[in-house]
Amino acid sequence: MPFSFLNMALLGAAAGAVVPVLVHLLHRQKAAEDLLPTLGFLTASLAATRRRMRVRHLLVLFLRVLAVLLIVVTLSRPAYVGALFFRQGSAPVSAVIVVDNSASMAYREARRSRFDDAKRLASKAAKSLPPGSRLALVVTGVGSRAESLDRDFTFNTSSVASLVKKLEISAQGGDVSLALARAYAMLAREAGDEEAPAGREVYVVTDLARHAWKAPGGLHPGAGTATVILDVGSPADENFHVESASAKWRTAPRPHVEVTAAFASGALAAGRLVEVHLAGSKRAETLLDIPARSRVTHKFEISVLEGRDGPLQGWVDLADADPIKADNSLYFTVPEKREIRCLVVDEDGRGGGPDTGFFLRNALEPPGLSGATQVSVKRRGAPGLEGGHLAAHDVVILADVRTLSPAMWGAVEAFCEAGGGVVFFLGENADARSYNRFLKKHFGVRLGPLHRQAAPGARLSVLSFDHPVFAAFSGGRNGNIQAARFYRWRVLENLPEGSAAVELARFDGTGAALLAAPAGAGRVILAAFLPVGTATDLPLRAAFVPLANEIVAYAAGGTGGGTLLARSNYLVGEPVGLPVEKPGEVTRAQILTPLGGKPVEVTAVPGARTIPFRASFPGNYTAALTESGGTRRVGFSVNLDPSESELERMTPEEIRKAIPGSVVVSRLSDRRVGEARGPTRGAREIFDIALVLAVAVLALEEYVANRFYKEATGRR
Amino acid sequence: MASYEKYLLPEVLQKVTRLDLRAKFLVEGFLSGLHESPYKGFSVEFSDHRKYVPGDALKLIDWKVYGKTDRYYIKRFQAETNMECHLFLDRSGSMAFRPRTLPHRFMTKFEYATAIAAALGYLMITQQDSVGLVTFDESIREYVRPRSKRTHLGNILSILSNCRPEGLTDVSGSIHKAASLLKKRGLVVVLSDLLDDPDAIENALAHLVYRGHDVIVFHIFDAAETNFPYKGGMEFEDPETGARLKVDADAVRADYLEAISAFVADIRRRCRLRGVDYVQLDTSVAFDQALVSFLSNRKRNFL
Repeated sequence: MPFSFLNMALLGAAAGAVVPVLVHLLHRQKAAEDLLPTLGFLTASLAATRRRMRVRHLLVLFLRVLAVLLIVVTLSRPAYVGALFFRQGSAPVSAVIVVDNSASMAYREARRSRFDDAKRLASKAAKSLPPGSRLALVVTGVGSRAESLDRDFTFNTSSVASLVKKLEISAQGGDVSLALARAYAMLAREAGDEEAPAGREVYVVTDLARHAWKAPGGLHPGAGTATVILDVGSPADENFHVESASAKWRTAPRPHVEVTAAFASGALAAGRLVEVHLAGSKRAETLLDIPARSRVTHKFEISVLEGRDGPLQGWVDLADADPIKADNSLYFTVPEKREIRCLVVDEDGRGGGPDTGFFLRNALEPPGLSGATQVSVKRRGAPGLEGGHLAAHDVVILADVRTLSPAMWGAVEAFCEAGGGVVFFLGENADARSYNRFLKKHFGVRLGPLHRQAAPGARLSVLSFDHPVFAAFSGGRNGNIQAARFYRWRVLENLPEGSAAVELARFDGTGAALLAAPAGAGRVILAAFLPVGTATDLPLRAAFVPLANEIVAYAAGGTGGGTLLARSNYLVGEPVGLPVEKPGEVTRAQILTPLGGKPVEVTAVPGARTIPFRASFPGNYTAALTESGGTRRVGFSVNLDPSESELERMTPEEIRKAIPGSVVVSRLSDRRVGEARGPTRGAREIFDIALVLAVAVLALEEYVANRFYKEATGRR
Repeated sequence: MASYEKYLLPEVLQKVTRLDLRAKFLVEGFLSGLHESPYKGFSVEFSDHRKYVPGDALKLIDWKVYGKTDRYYIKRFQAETNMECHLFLDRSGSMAFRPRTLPHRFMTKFEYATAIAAALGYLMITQQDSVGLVTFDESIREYVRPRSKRTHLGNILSILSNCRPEGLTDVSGSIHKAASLLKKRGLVVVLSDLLDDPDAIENALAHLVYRGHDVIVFHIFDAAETNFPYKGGMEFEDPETGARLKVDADAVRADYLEAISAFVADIRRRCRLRGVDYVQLDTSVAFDQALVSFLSNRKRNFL
């Protein structure tokens, strides 16, 4: 009901409206009387005359009743509580301004961003509140600097307007629906305050980007709360952005980093320059054409720099200008794999030539790349091997070791049980009597005699390229592993007992060449050949280095820790768990942020396995984790949520469905804003308007009545 | 304005209560405004001869003189006294109409008609013509035979003065009855508002024409009837029948004036068809219009 009356009791006087009806009925027949000999000439138009006179009678009656009613209404002091056609009331209100500062608000059109418009409208809304109003500010991007500008209710609306001007785009995105729920909760609390104004208003300044409305349902404004959605967006689609970027270590055919990036664009993007930066310098670039509303993936292969220090990080960058700059760069960190400490055990210097571990050592840690590869290799002769030597390593390679003592076999078993990996390369020296018990247990085979294959030798037949050991060779990549020739190998005799071992490769179908099996928490791999020149030409082929690394990496996988961090790429605001190696000890993390300056220092809670950290800005981060054993350095990248670049908009119908009673308008001065907040602004007394109307109706009645009746009777 | 001319105005003449004086003032006022006497040629008694000039009416050539002299002479006449004029005066209730709701400025239709009748009688008696009078409403009320003596004028004026308009109207029936009373051809002057059936009125006038009379009709309206100056709600009463009608004067004005105009046009058309002179007057019109019309008729028919 848009109208109310301040003096309701006087409305009873409206019964006086019957007076003019009675007067009218009593007097309406009084017409001037006269003689007219030519009366006959009037009869023709008699019917039309009577109709017209009846209409005039009714008009006069209506005007008289209306005049009486308007006088009564005027004396009753009418008040209007809506906004249409009238100025709104000036009752103070409790208002909350919700500002969407998600990344899409940075969209720039005509030299002004949506966020500029949003701040202007928010300030205008703050200043348009009636005197005595209380205003609060809620910013959707909780992880931004603007978070500190959130304010609870204050009478100083100008200060809120000033704060609005200082707001910045939040890299963390934010949730408008969540912010709205907070705003409604604040208003609900405010309603409990007796001194708080009765009217409640919420202004949401947003571009209606769908990504910012993460849970649009279940919003309940509460009775008497006006929600005005001030739309600063537009159906734009010209955003070109990096959708994803990831990097992987690749060992084949040589150690390098493979960066995979995906790009998307709403409109056609032709000839866009894309750059990849790694370790602080531009390492690759290309030109891309992206059709409208589609996605293009591109891979960059970047060779590893020697002698790098710390985590390997970089970013993919769009060099060309774009409406939203923030999503034109995406940061990545090459997953920091745990260094695999590998112990190669062989028969030291037998035969005067290179020892049996020579090729393996050089394949796993090539000369000149020390520290730049994943595997660090130590060599030890079999004779002096002790159980304690195994514990400091992740993988132990037994390269044609003749025999191990029972105690040593026990140590190997324990090593595997603890998660270590063991790789056997067996040649003519391996003593079957020493090995068979272990081989029988884990592989279900028995070591047979040495097989000699006539020239040109046997080929290796890979049974499954899906296995991690051979996945790098699928499709002929990284050298043709099946082209290698084998001249001598140990026959593996199958036992009737089954085992969990998996046969990975065979020698031209004549016998097993490579077996893998779990052993406790670790893994064991059995190669029936020795990678030396007398047994195979494999070490001379390109496939050997990747094969050796893949075998060792697979064997080390049983330790349960492939990488230092569970992930290397995170979204802004997402929790990053920095690993604690020794939970019982004090671990400190010093985190260098992209903003520079002093590192952020965080200390682990005693007993915790991770140190929590939450990044607020996109960029590459490095953390120095200090424990009793020394300092480890890990890196991770933090990026904007790619959905922030999506420009799809919520429809006004969806908004109205999500927020009952809300209105979506594009300008604060829009009439519909008045419609929405009219009930909250209180009543405006419209005595003056009612008085003018009453006088106007009286004047009209006087004129009409005079014209219809008094002129005729006045000449009597 | 000469001293008598002002009496041509109805609002002035109505201040003169005596009808004989009204007639005298009216005629004298009318005659003083003329530059040439209208009397010449009205009568048919021979006066002298003059030479014929082209354009003279051939019927006026004295053929006896031509037979004697072989020359054309035109006969000139003096006024004669043997023409009869009959004044038919409508004295029905409608002739007494005077608007109650409008300012009282003019005579009633009856007073106006009476003034004209008196003036015509005065004029005719002065020329030694005979003048008769018929008053009627739904029937003939008075009939005065035509006489040319000056004392006869007093009789006529006395009757006119004592006449009170009332009753219903039967114009056509009255004219038919009066026509049968007239024994000798003459001039018939009808003074009426003719609020009757137009067909019947036409037949009545045709009857007079058939009997050899020259007929002139003075169709007299009140100014309120022709202008309909009423405003707002009005309740009208027919003075003859007593019928009442409630109307919005503003709403019906246009239709009423159109109907009146159509009625007048119809009567005029019918009169022209029957060879009757028609003069429409209303009570605000100066009397000289009626007299000029009358004299023009006389000149056209007797020259």
